[in-house]
Amino acid sequence: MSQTGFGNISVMTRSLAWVIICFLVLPITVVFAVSVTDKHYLSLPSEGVSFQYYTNLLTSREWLGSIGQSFIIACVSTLIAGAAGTLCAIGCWRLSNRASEAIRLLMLVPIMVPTIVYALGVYQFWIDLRLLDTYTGVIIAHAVTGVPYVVITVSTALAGFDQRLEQASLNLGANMEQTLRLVIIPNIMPGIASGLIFAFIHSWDELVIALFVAGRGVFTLPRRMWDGINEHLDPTMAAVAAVLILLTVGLLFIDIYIRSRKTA
Amino acid sequence: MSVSEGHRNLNITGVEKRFGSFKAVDNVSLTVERGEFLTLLGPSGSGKTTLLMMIAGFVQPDKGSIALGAEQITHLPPERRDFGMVFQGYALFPHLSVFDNVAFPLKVRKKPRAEIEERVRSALDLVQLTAQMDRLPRQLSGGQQQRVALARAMVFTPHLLLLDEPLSALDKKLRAELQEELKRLHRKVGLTFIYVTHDQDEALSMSDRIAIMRDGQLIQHGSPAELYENPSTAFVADFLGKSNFLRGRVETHAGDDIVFTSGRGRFRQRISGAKRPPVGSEIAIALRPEKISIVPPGTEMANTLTGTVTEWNYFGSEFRLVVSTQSFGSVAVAIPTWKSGVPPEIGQSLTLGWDAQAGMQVAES
Ligand SMILES: Nc1ncnc2c1ncn2[C@@H]1O[C@H](COP(=O)(O)OP(=O)(O)OP(=O)(O)O)[C@@H](O)[C@H]1O
Ligand SMILES: [Mg+2]
Repeated sequence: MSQTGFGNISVMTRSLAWVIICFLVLPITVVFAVSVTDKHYLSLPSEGVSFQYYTNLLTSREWLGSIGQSFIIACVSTLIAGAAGTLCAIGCWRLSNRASEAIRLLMLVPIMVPTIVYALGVYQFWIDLRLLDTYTGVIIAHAVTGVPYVVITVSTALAGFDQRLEQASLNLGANMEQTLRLVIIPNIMPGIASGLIFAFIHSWDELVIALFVAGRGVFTLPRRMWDGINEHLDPTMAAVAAVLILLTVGLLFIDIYIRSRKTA
Repeated sequence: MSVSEGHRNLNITGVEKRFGSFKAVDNVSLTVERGEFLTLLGPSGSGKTTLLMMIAGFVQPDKGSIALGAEQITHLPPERRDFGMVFQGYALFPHLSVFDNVAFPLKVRKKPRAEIEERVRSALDLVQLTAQMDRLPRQLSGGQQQRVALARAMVFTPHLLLLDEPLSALDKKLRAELQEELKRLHRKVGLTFIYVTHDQDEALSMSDRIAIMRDGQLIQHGSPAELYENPSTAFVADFLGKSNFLRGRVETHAGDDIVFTSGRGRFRQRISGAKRPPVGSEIAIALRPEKISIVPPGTEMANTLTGTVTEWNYFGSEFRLVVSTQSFGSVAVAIPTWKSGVPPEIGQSLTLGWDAQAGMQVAES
């Protein structure tokens, strides 16, 4: 009897899981449908499928410009966040005392504070520093908010790193710099790569900070999509969204691949 | 590989290490001579690894000093000491091939490529791993990994080699093989080995000298034979090989012997000179099981003792019996199989005998 009981529970759990998955995924798929609409406004295709908005996207200077800007910003801020986050995580790991625990927590502040509050703070700050509407301003803001992802993934990788490897390296005559470069970093590379991927995705689809600190000169892709929705409901936006989703999924698959290779 | 020119004695003087108020290593002084195979032996938690870590430079002593020849190295960072170390669990770099693992100490010293190639090859030759050169550590067996660790620790001709229970993860047969190999290597390269183990047989068979540790202190050190034949305390006598402890009170001095009593028995033990305990004092004599024999009843011998067999086990080359006696309780006896005649049965009574020189006076504790 308990057997059937468990069977029922498992069927229920399973259906629930599927409902949740659909709930998470279905809204996303709508974007793909909308992106191939044949109408002139945001809608589902009715008469036939058209790729005009993809053509539009690939020929529009504005969209391409925004994609280029977002790409540059995401790349540079990812590099900064990657370097800073990795070094921070390694430093905390090496000290591993109460102060380093506190620092590690502090590093998570950017993702614990509501983005809008954070963005407001950055805005105030950037006025004084004359960084509003500059690449530098957006890049720094994105780098700082990207650091937590790197710190988290690298710290996790370090938790599984055998401290004796570091001792062995020192014992064999390597100094700290060589130990870091030749032993520690290669062994936590999957963690660093994950962190970089998350930091990149974070910058690539970040809107709130961009709304505050970017204006006319710097016009990131999420910002243009936002404007697209607010002003002219241009279906090109759906095409962009579809491309963005595919890119993100691609990056996540790379991440999964890197992790699985590590455990193999 | 040859012994480096700067190869000197290691002098450890009064080192101490505390963790909180707990003394993990307590006032240890020891000189390790060049080319020596020294074993640190002691029960778990006796401070062997901590002492080794202080020699390697990963742990700073709270007191005392460590010197290599005349050079103070107490505060020298580990990467500047030039001591090879084989870690418990080997600590091979998992992302590097066997070749690159062994080449690592040479690469960080910026040696020319051709020299690296040559020295790594000869090190791998020495441990017979040339064929596995391109494999990753996880593709090797335990014994092969251990040999890579060894080659890596020796390839840069260190001043000395520190080994922390390098064989503890291996099965018995492989362990015996690698013990042989380690000894052979030690003879061949003439490097100083400081070897940590808690396996007493390993310590006895491999070392030039054994240092016995207990609760962070160095209890006794000397050659294996010295420690086995002349343990200073009951702890050493029991830790290095098995011992029976005969406790009694000194009754008289008779020539070179003392006569002591326990229960209804009177026993003789050769103790002459300064170590001789005064009449009336309590003494403890350690007696190895293999120094006791089974004798016919009524034999004239320095010491005889009757008892009944409570346990006997066959070990191929010898029988080990436990005999219950009135004077000393249970006494362990080891008899070579070829000498024992018929196997004694449980409950059978027999007479044990041993010479006056057979026992060793030891301090309690
Ligand atoms: N980092 C540390 N912090 C606190 N106590 C420690 C530390 N390292 C070692 N100890 C303690 O010091 C004592 C000696 O430890 P050590 O590792 O030197 O023992 P050992 O002789 O190597 O034992 P084993 O044979 O089990 O390896 C132990 O009681 C241990 O708990
Ligand atoms: Mg240990």
